[in-house]
Formats: sequence, structure tokens, C-alpha cells
Amino acid sequence: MISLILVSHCRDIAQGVLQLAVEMTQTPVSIGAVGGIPDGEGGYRIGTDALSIRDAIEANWNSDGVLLLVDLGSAVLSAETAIEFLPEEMQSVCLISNAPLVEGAVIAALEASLQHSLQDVNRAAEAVRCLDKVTR
Amino acid sequence: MTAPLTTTVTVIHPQGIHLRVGKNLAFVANRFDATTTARNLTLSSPPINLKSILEIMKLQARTGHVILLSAKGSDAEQAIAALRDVLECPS
Repeated sequence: MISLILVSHCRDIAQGVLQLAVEMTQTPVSIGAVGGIPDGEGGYRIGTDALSIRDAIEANWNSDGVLLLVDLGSAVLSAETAIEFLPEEMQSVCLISNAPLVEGAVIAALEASLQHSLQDVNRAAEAVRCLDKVTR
Repeated sequence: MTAPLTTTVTVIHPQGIHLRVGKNLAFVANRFDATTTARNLTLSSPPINLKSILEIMKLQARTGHVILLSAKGSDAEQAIAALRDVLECPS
């Protein structure tokens, strides 16, 4: 079963999306949430940190694959850097999704729970980009 | 060729087919080999695949909407009964 890594600039967003994603699973899925940068005073400021993302990948590692769902900008860059820090054999099964973070995590958590493959889970998550939320 | 089994269900959940109900539908649909679809008859929407949570969200099913469930395959009867249970069990 693949793992998920949720990356946001904001720690609370990452933790909140984690809570929502877990709600969408039936069998336990390993999901890591990374958000913010330690401010040195016990809290977090807005930002992303490649080393923290790498640590989360390692902590939630599954050789079936790791799908990273990220918000914007440096979250993408930090996720890419985090993957580069990993050994090559791990890099090959890490994938950064083009899905939006919240909706993508909801779909991916359910699909991962159904034990679908990394590519299938990502395909389902990315398909959410075409979902109309209201009928006009 | 066997015709699909169908049944209609009126949505009773106060929030319609919300995310958690959708999740339950998707997991139940995935337990069966049968091809299972749903149409929102109230909105005259096209059929969606019940094995996909994303498709289920496309139903935009609100309280009182009438949903046509359809199942085709060796375990269609069990599938349609289980899906009906999800929609008729408030949660």
C-alpha cells in the first residue's frame, strides 16, 4: 500500500488536511504531514523545509510508492529537493502530484486505502482538477 | 446480455451525499465485482461510477434528490442491496 506525504507552507493546514485524509481511509494508510518551519521558540512560521519533508518520507516509507501532495511554490521546490536527498532506489517510487492539496489528499487517501497503485492513486487525485463544485 | 439491476433511492441525509457518505458508498462499491453506477434523476445528470469518490461528488446529491442505482455483474444483487443500505442508513 502506498504512503502519502502532505506538504503545506502552514503547519496547521498540513495537520488539518491530515485529519481530513485519515477520515477518508478504511484501512490504515501511512500519511505524513509537513508544514511550516520551526521558529526556534517552540512554534512554527510559514514556509517549507526540504529536510523535514525527507524525514517524513523516510518515516512513512513504503516501497509500493510515496505520493506527495503539496500546496504551491516553494512547497514544490522543497519536495523536489527532499526527494533528491533520498537514495536513488527510493527516488524512483516518489511522485509529486499535480493535484490540489486538500481535494487531492481526500481522494488519494481513499484510493490508497483501496490498495491501488501509485500511478492509479495519483491519476484519481489529479482528476479532481476537472471537478465542478457547483452547477452553473 | 443481462440487463442491469436498478433501484431508486431518495436521499435522506440532511446534508445530502456528503463526503463521509460518499466514502462509504465508494468502499462498498469496491467490495463487489459488479459495475455499479448512479444517476441523480432530480438533476437529470449522467451516470457516474460508484467505485470513485470523485465521481460520487459529481452527483451533487442533496436531501430529497432521487438517485437511480444500477448494478451489473455476477454479484449485482448483493451490490445494489449494500449500496441501498448505505444511502438509507443515516450517518
